Amino acid sequence: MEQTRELLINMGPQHPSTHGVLRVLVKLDGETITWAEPDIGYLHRCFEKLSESKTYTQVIPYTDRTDYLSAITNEHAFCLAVEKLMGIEVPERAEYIRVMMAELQRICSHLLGLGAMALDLGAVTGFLYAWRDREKIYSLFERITGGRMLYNYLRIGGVRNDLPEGIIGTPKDGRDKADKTIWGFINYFESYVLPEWDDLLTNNRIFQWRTQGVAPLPSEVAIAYGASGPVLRASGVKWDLRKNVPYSIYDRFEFDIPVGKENGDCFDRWVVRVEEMRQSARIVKQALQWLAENPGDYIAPKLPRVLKPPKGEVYIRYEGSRGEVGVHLVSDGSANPYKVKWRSPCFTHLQLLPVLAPGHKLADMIAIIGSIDIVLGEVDR
Amino acid sequence: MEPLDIRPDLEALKAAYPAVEIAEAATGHFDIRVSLDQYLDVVKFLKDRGFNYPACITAIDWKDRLELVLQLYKLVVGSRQSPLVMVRVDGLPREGAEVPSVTPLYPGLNWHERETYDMYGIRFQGHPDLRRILLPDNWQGGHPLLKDFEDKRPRRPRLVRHRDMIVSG
Amino acid sequence: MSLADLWAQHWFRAFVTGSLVLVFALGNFYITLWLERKESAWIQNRLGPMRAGPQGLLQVLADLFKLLQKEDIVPRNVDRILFLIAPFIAHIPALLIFLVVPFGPNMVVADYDIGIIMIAAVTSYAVIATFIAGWGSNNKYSLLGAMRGAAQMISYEVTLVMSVIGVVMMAGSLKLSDIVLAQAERGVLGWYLFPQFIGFIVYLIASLAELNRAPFDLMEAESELVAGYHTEYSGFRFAIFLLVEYVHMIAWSAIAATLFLGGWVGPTPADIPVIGPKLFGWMTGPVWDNVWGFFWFLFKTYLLIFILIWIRWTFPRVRIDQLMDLGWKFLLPVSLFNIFLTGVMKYGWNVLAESGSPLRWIFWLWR
Repeated sequence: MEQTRELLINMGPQHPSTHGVLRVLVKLDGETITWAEPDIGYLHRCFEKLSESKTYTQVIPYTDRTDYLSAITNEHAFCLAVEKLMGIEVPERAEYIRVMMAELQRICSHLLGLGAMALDLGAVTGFLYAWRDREKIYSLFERITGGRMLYNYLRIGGVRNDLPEGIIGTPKDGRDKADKTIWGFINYFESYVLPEWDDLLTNNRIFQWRTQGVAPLPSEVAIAYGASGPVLRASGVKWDLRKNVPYSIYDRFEFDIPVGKENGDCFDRWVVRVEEMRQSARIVKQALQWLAENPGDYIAPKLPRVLKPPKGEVYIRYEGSRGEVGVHLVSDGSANPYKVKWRSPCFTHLQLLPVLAPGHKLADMIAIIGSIDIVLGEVDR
Repeated sequence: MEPLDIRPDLEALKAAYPAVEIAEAATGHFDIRVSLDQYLDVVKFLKDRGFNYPACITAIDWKDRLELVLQLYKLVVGSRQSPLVMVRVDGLPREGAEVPSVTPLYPGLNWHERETYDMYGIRFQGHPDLRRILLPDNWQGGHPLLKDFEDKRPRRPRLVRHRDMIVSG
Repeated sequence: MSLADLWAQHWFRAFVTGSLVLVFALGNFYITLWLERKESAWIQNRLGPMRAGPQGLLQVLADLFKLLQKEDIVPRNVDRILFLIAPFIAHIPALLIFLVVPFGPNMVVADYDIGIIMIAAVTSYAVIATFIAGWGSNNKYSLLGAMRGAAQMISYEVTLVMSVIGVVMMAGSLKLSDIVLAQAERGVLGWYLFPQFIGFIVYLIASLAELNRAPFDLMEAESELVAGYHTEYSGFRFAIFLLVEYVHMIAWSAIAATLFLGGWVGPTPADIPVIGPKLFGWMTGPVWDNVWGFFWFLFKTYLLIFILIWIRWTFPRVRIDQLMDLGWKFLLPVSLFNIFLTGVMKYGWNVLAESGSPLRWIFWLWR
């Protein structure tokens, strides 16, 4: 007897919208997904094994390369872990610089995440607008750190160098200084970029068709699956490690935690990210005010050339751009870490794909991958 | 907001399972050392006491034995400083270790357990889909995060940069 | 045999006019491709092609030449005959549409009495080529793209024809040149754009879907299906699909300009009050009528092409079920309502036109 068969298609690892080298096996009934299974590991670079043969300072550049779109936050997480292990006090100015950089990096990372999701949904222009603004952050970072994407800027105990002259700017700097001063960028971002995103996509009827009601994620499922960051918050769980498990100096800043509704769908994840960029801009502004009022040059304590933390173990939970970055560090008292475990949010989030995708259309698959915003560098490490 | 206190839970755990050792580490988390046969029961107990968030699961190779480390914490909206607990099973054999899987309790640990199997060779009984995850399915070279792992694949010749290839001027 | 005798021969006329249509289509393909690249660049804060020629005008030539040089790869597992023949089947209907389009007064290759039906019939063939390409490629992505394409084009064909019926009712003819002349009589405000505004919007949306352009480019949705039905094509066969896409776009814009924007009708410099007749009086006569007609026709066509490109680079893509819902549940009822409305309004005007009642001005637009 003739009967319909499911179509097994192989999305990736070379596919335009799998954000790198993700491979997803999808079974289709017509256009409807009945089964999906991600297959990862194409970008595995042995980060954890490699770290065991490096000194603590040498690991920092490798952390950049896990989630390469959000390098500063990874460095920050690793440095926090080592500092906690050794009990190092970080100079206040360095803390402010770190937080400011991390939040700028979060804006930068969310911009690309949103832009890539827009691209996946067919709005090429949104992607290029994101790229334009990301480029401005990169220009600022280049002046501060010397690198555009992978910085190696944070040091254990502080930062490599102070902010260069004139990079802070004044609160009056406008759009013309967006890629010259941080104030200029923040003002440009708040007054120009965020409304543009709202006009171009968030309030776009087709965009809402494509994302609203797609792949709802109930909050209890999100927690059970270890979702974190924007994905968790979009499901209505008001949980931000910066507020709930404060590290560094985040308890000194005022900002809100944006949350979605109970069953967060792709649209909620989008809105939460846009809202988070606004909150990050708020944090950056507060940090800039402090930095302008408290000039100084003490940015890193004097530490021995080779760090030998005492025997012990530490697990740092860090609110990275994509969710909870966990750094599990085991020290045996020698100069090299005995074990580094990188609990990456993208790796954890990708498990949600087989849960979210079935029952939706093939086109929704792309929206789902875009909305959980994975970076394959971090999935595979 | 007061820091979230999990001591009552840990005391209850100690009362229910006197064999577990609970210690607070200098870096802020709680170590819960359990024996292999009590592992699953303890994790179930913790889950019932509200440790709902699966952070991670991994292993440590102490050269003579393996140690399984499961990190959990309470995700309570509005709470502050929720402490992390590490459920540790020490003394696993370095080859052919078998541990009950906690994936049925915490589906979010599915891939983390697969990764632990992939990297350390610990088998998780009751895991729905225990395959290699980061390494290829047909990888024969062992489990790379073991300390005595060596890459047995034939060495590729190092690329030599010849001096005369550099064009001067 | 003199040139006039030769012109009287059917085969010669067909040859010459056919060649002219081909040249017209290819020339506009070139310009449209360039325009798309430039316009997308303007929208996206880029410059677009700048190096090859002034403002990158030669870039398209370079690209086409590159595609021509490429190896013509035929994958091993394809259905060879279907795979090879699909691009050629695809480009025939695209070019055939131009046969009935009036480029200017008396500038039409074949002025069929059933022009609109001919267009509807010919364009339906495009879906066959798409499906052949998708099926023959023996690739799952291609097949999905082809299935989407078939569903989409057949659905929107209905809507498209329905949206045009209002125009046919107004003009009382299926002949395209008659429709233009009927609009010419009514003056600028009488262009069918205004009484048939609903029809025009429906036509615009439906033709976007028919053309497989964003936001309805589902059958070649890059982020979902890699390249849809032409995933396996390379080199010049791919270029032909590209050509078909753009020629289709020009054709649909040309038809829209003819049906809704008055085709070749437009003012000439001689129409400028006071100084016009004195300064530009010499710009009259049959030849100049053709020149200005062609100018206005092209102007309106490119206006629509500009809008189509603008839409493409602004909106995200819809999903296949939403596309079908939009077509069958919204656009088709709306276009049917438009037919009903046109009938009622025309009837109202016919009844009230002579009566002198002030109510008749409600129906004036549908006169």
